[in-house]
Amino acid sequence: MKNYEVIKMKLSIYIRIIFSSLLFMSGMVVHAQTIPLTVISHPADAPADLKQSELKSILLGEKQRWKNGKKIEVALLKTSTAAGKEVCTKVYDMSADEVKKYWLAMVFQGKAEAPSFFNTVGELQAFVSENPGAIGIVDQIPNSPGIQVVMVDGKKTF
Amino acid sequence: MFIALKTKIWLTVLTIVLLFTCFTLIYFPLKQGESLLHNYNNEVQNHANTVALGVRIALKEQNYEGVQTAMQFVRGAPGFEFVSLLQVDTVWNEKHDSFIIKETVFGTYPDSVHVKPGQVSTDSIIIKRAPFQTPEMSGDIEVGFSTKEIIESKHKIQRTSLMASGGIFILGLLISLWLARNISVPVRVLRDAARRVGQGDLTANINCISNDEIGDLGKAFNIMVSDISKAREELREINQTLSDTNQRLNTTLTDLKATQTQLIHAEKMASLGEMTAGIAHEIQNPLNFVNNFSEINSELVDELHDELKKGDMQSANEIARNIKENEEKIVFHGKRADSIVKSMLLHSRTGSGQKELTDLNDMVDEYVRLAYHGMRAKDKTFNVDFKTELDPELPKINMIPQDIGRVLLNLINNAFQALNSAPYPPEGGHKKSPKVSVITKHIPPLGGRGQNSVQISITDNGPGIPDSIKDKIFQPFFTTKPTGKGTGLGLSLSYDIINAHGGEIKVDSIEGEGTTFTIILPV
Repeated sequence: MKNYEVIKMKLSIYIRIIFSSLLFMSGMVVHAQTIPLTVISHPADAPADLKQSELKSILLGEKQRWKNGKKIEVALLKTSTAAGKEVCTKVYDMSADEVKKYWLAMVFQGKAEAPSFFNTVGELQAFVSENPGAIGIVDQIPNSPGIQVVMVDGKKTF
Repeated sequence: MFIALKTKIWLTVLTIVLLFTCFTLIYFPLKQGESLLHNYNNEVQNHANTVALGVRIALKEQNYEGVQTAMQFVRGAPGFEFVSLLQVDTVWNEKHDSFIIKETVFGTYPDSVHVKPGQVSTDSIIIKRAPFQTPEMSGDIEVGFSTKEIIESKHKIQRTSLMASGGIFILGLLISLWLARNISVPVRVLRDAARRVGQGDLTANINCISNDEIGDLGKAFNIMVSDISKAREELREINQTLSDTNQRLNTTLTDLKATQTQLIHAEKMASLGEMTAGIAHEIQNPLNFVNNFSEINSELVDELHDELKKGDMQSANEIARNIKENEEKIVFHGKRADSIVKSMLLHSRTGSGQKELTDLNDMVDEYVRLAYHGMRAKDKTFNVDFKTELDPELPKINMIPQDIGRVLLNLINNAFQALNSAPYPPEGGHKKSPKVSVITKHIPPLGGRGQNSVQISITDNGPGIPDSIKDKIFQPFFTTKPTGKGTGLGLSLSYDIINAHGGEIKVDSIEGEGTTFTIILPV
């Protein structure tokens, strides 16, 4: 009787371990899925295509003005969104917290103005369309007259 | 210690100015400095709080506008030195059973400033911290502000205070001068004027310019001086009046003295007149004897010549013997007249005589008779039964005889006059037989102690003295006699004479029964 209960308890633990492992693995599978990102900009000042390094330089606040001298205004989705997290990974090569701290440090030290973060793509697109010199990253290719898609290394998405 | 009003004003204003100067120079800047520092601390803390709030919003909502604005504001604030973000992490040990709080500098603006965790405020810098906590990061915002601005502000306040103090000091001096001029000077003028008034100059007047209490005082002073001047003028007039009155009184007094002298003389002459009548009567008798015996002697001398011619020697001798007897009688009565004349002269002498031992009994006897004959000379119908009881043991008295004689004569005359003027008895009544008695008595000292004295009582059974005038009879010029008949000085002079001899005079009288005057004189 006692052995039976011990076996039953061990079996229950094994089942839980297996179930948890399956859940973890499924998460890993979801996490491993990449979201295609598209760079958009106000058509007035931003170039039509950029190199990945140029994009990274802009998003890190290192490059703050377009070639024509217009101030670059970066618009990003918040790191709490999936696309936002994707930007952190693909562009900044940082975690979401690290991006937050990065921009905090930049702002704190007065080295750059922080990007504008939005909850939705629509809000972001609206901002970009209304502000000349603005550039942003979304997870879908827009079809709006006031927005141009900026090619990165010759690709619409990356 | 005398402190002039001017000095007091100066001291008062100077004290106030010094106190105010101390306040503006020391207390006010000190408090202002403390207040500035306190406000500056609050301001710095507010900066730290604002940045911390911005950081919290930035990390939670990814909205960096707040922190950017806060940072711009802080960086632009005067006295800004640095702002630093200190990250606080909990670091566990390997066993995960203990931890330490690790504080690292996350970022600082400007970069050139090296901030160390745990810095505190000093005199030159104020450091304030404000905590923030987010899921991503916890820590403190540390801001540093220089106190240079505060120190400069303090210096500015001190300079301003110094200038204000200087201004106040100068203002105080000016106020002192003004007060001294407007209070001290008028008061000094008032004092000088008061001194002049005190010295008798009532023309002292003050020009009252100021329209305040001092001006009122000056006006009051002028009114007072005017009043004093009027009062003095009135006093002078009153004094003049008094002087005139005094002059008149002196004249009146002189007149009165002259009148008194005349009255006394008149009284003396009156008593002398009365006495003279008695004396005349007294002299008449001896003179008659002298005349008669002289005539008889003349006739006897003729008879003697005849008898001598006849040679009848026996008859001649008889006549000569008669002549001698008559001559003796002439001498006797001549001496008697001489004695009377001497008494009269004695009485008429002025009263500046010397005291001498005098036999009072003889004097009483003589003056009773003189008074009686005086009355009789004036009124032949006057008749009174008078008797004297003279104490043979009466010692001689040291007195001024003419004065005491005058008293006796006056009192005895009064007694006779009282009897002579007594009204007729009521119808059916019997007129009393008028009597006057004069009694002298030696009064030995009581119990062998004290002084010997003599008592002279003059009693009449006349109408007596009414009670209403008993108190007045010794007053000068008081008399019940008709005008021109008496001077009213008799009893008054008697009173004074007896007093001058150390004695006393008193009266006992019962209206309708009689009066007794008693004189007591010390031996």
